[in-house]
Amino acid sequence: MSMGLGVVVLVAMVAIIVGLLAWLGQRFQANDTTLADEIDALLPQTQCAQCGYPGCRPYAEAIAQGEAAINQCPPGGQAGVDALAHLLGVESLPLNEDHGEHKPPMVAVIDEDRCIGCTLCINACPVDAILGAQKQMHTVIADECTGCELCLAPCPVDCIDLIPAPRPSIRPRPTTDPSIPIRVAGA
Amino acid sequence: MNAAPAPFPGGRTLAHHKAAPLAQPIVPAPRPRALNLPLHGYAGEPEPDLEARLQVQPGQRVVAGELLLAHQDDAHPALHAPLAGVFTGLHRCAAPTDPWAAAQHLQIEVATDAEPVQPPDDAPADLDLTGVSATDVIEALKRCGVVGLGGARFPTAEKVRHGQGAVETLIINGVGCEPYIACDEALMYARPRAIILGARLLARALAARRIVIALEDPVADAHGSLVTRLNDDLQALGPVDVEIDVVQVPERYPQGAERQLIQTLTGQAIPHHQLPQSFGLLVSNVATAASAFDATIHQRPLTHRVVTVTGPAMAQPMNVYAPIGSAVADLIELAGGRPDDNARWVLGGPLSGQPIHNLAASIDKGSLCVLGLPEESSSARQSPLPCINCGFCVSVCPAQLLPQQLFKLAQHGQHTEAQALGMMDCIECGLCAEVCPSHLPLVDAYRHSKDWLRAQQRDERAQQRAKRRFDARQARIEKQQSADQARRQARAERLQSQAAAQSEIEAALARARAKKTGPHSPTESGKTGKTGESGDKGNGGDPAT
Repeated sequence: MSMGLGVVVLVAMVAIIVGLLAWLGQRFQANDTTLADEIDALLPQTQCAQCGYPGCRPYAEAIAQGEAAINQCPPGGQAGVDALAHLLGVESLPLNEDHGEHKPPMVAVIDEDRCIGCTLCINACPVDAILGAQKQMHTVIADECTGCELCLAPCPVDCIDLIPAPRPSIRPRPTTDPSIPIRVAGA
Repeated sequence: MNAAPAPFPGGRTLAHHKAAPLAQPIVPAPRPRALNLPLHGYAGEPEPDLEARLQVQPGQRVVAGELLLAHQDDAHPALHAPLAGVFTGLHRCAAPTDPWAAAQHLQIEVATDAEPVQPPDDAPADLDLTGVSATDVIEALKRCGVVGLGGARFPTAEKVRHGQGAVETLIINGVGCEPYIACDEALMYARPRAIILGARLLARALAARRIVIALEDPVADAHGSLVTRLNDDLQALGPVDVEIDVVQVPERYPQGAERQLIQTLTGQAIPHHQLPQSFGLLVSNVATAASAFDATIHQRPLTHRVVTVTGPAMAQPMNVYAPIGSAVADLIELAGGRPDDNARWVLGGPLSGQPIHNLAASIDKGSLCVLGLPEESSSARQSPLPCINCGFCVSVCPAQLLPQQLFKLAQHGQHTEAQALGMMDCIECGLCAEVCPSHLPLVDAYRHSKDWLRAQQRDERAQQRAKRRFDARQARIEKQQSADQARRQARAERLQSQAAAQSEIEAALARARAKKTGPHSPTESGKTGKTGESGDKGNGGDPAT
């Protein structure tokens, strides 16, 4: 009788402790963000491969391993290099122009009259932003295009152009007296 | 809720300057030569898929109220022709307030025999709303292009749909608290029953149990009390299934701002990243309520709105019933102003409005007021002086921010730091700049900073999307490669056994024989062809995939 009770109490205690540990494990999850994740978050996600790696994530991993320099990302520009230097606690470097020059955001446009539907650009696009099928006209989903230029080289009929990406207008920093409010004399 | 428990912090009581435009009833705008209907979605997002939404061809004749642009989504409501005429096409013209941006406009050459539209009469007292369902209301709002007429232009159908079931109390905002803007008061004098019935329809669509109509009643002495009038009409319309209250709030700017009004009525402060719906509340402008009534009961699309054209630069300040797309200059001339005058023209009120850079530009569904202040009657322009940290701006800020800090950060391009101090909580009421003894362009700096931050957020979202798409593509390619690998391995293992290799060789010979004799039995040759093909692939790698 007392033996049975003991077993029940023991089982209950074990169950409670296991439950508690499971809850604690969930509640205080170890921070599993790696250095590569943090570096990846600073990269512009253009996926253009100008850095010499096949995308932003592989480049981030290479930096984290100490295999790549921090100044190989032209789309990120000097500001991106500085941010990486700040994160890694190293001295910033000038952007390495061998990998390309920093350009304003661009977006690809397919001249639909000239497109022959070869699908080569579709396979080249790192973010699946080109829509089309064999012998059908292709088109770029402008909102998803990162302007990486990877579709330009494979196109056999040179029908893809890069144009400046549409940007929302930003009202300028004021340099003179306030335009608003207007104080009414005597009010 | 009738007593105001905790008025919002900050704010100021200002002279209202509303008596002059309210001295006469709403004036219908005369027939214009052309209308330019601005095309911008909510929050100025560019118009996507314009061609697909366009319901008319350039050169086509349109009748008044004809659908020009179909409803698409949250940000892109329907648009109708206000007057009969010819649709001449899309034109890129300057926006009234932004000299740097050119927006697309739909242009209508108004027919010479088109009658100007009169402001609609008020609803009859004996109208029966039974039988109108929530879906009827939402569909009508969508079809008639009803948007928030308090200035935000958010499509009402979407707002109602998002709030359905979550909203306990519908607040109808008649607090036109900014000096000079009298369009809401004018509408409440002209169409109180339409507003009440529209509010009831919105409440029905939302399944709200209570309606609060809030107003300031600034000109009660001169033009009669609006509170009394609304209460009389509530009596006349008879008992209903929802509780309706008319609440007069103290005159204090910016009492009409959504969050400030909620705070005064309920004591609830709503953080900028949350919507009133999360607190069981929804605020709608009086003009939106009247439009909801017109849309649901009369199927009348939103093609006109009441615009206050006022200020010392106008000989005869008035409220105009103007077609959407009217030129600002036409409205100024109608009110006896001279567009050529050296005055400061503002779209909106004197505190939170936007300076008009191009008087030929046109009004949209969110334009409340055209204000003209001659240089001599507005205080002299003064060059900004350094901030002296007087703290006046802090004491008037209704969002409880630190305007002087935000200004300094914005001016030095430290927008991320400004965001951490609540830059996006700023409602651009303009009080900080109004009280600033150093004449600092505070609001202009905030607008710059907020535009910058919004562009930044847009870029960040795009980056996140690109990352997700890249990762998804990578995962797909890896999956494909490992599947191919597995297939190749399975084949290689199969060929290890003598018998399987023998049958493979026989299949290849049979295929070669079939090719030589010509393709006669299609089913058989297809079948053998298939086996042979997979055999080829197994030996020679997998080039196709």
